[in-house]
Amino acid sequence: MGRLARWFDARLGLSYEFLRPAPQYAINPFYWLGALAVVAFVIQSVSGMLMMLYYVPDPSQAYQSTQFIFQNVSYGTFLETVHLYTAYAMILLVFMHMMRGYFVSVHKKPRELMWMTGMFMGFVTLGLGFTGYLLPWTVVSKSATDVGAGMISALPQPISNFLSFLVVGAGGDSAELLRFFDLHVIVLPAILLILLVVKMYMLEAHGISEPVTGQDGSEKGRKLIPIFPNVTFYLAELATLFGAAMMLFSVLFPLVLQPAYTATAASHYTSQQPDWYFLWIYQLLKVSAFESAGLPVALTTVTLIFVVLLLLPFLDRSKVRRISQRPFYVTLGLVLVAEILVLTIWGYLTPGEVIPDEQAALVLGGTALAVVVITLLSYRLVLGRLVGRLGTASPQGAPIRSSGVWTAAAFSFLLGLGALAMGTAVNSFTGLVSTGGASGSWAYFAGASGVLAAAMLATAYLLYRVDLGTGAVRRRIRAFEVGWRE
Amino acid sequence: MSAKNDRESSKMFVLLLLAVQVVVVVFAWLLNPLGPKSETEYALLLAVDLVAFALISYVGRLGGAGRDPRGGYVLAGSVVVLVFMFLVLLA
Repeated sequence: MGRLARWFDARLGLSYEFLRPAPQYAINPFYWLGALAVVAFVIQSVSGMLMMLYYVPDPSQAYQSTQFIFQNVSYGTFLETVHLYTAYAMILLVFMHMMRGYFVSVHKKPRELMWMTGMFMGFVTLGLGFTGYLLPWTVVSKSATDVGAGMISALPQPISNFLSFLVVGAGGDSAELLRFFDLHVIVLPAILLILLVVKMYMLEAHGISEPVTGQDGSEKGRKLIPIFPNVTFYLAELATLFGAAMMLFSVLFPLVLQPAYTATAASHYTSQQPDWYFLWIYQLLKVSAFESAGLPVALTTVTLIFVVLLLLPFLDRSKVRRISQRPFYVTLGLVLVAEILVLTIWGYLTPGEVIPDEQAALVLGGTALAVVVITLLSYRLVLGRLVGRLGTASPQGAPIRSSGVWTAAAFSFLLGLGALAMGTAVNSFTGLVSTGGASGSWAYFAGASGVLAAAMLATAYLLYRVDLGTGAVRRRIRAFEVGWRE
Repeated sequence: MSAKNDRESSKMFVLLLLAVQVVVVVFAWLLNPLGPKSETEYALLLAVDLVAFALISYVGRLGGAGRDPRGGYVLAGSVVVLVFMFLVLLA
């Protein structure tokens, strides 16, 4: 019997230490953004299954059944609201998880496949958002989905045919809704679960990635703690606080069901736009150069961004992981985040408007320029000095204290705000020129310039106060005051 | 002596939160599920329950590891619980 057990054990790895102890440095919310996205997925699965008891995926009954959930089902509005907000939170958490991974280089050897699996999970998450948006069959959701589905025809013929078959089916609203429903509740969740299992398997194999800042490289930081109860309860705390935040949002902003979709209502509805997570793509497609004939170019550009992110481990192949030593990729990442942020807010403010080419070039170019200048100046003034010239830092770069996390968060916020203000200022300036100096445009321009100035001042102050574990910046500035004597 | 007092305080705090959770569950059970205000009350009660659980877990986890919970976190969590309960009364 013992021999048989050993035989199975040798082949199946049953005695393998499943869920190994985790390092102390993993007790940090930034390490659990992906886990929180999974928590959001679980909440959505439960709320979605409850809604499935009442929802009918047929154009003639979809809206009525959704309305029934809102009005007649116990806690129906709460159910719908929580389902939507956890979906939003899941997309946001997935994006934050990806960008954190990008900046701390988790995509490097040996985690290349983990990164790619995570990217596919991100695509599936966006697919879940896209397919779920249509299901209530409101005029807003149907019109926006039609815009998205219409873009498929601009793709190369074989891809277009395949996607049309997959999404729209044989044609007609019934086929479209049924396919979206099937994709939303069966196909995509199943794919997501399979990818999750694969990713968890790789996480077990490679363990949690080490911090790059050096703050927890100490013996204390590397001390192993058991998964149960320490890490499990820590995750439970994060999950319950996340759940409480979702409850609060559902109380503060309860969902209101939009009017039903009818052909007449759709013809009067002119400001079709997708949900916020696709707004940046939609805004890019609204640039006049990308209208009609230019649409394939825009779609190719967006696809290229996703492909580059997917293949990042094979493009960024250097072994260096520290942020202070990766100015190119860090700047590129910050430009991407800032552009997505600017495009999203810009898209929200200009529904249905075609964007002139020169305005798009100014806003997007201005944003990119602002981010590049601020980031490279930061590298030049702070990180470069710490790594190279001042002897206090090791060749690996200076250790950053835990307070550095908050400094980095404040810095990122200011960077985003600055980029946004820069984009808005340039946009309002072009408006000012085109309207011949109308008073409203002046106020818009002055407001944006004020925010930009405030963000730049705050960034300068932050750079002055930033300590990065060595006090080198302040010492350097004092050294400037009295003359460089080090 | 001080460590023993701290342990006793933590135990009392956890017991108090457990009592709050029981009360919250009873209130949530008694709500009329189709009432117009019930959804708000239900969501807030659930939020109270979740934050209370997070606090209990936090105090228990650190206590188990022989460390003291951070006073600021415990205070902030307690204030959130009280604010949510106050909002339930207002709803």
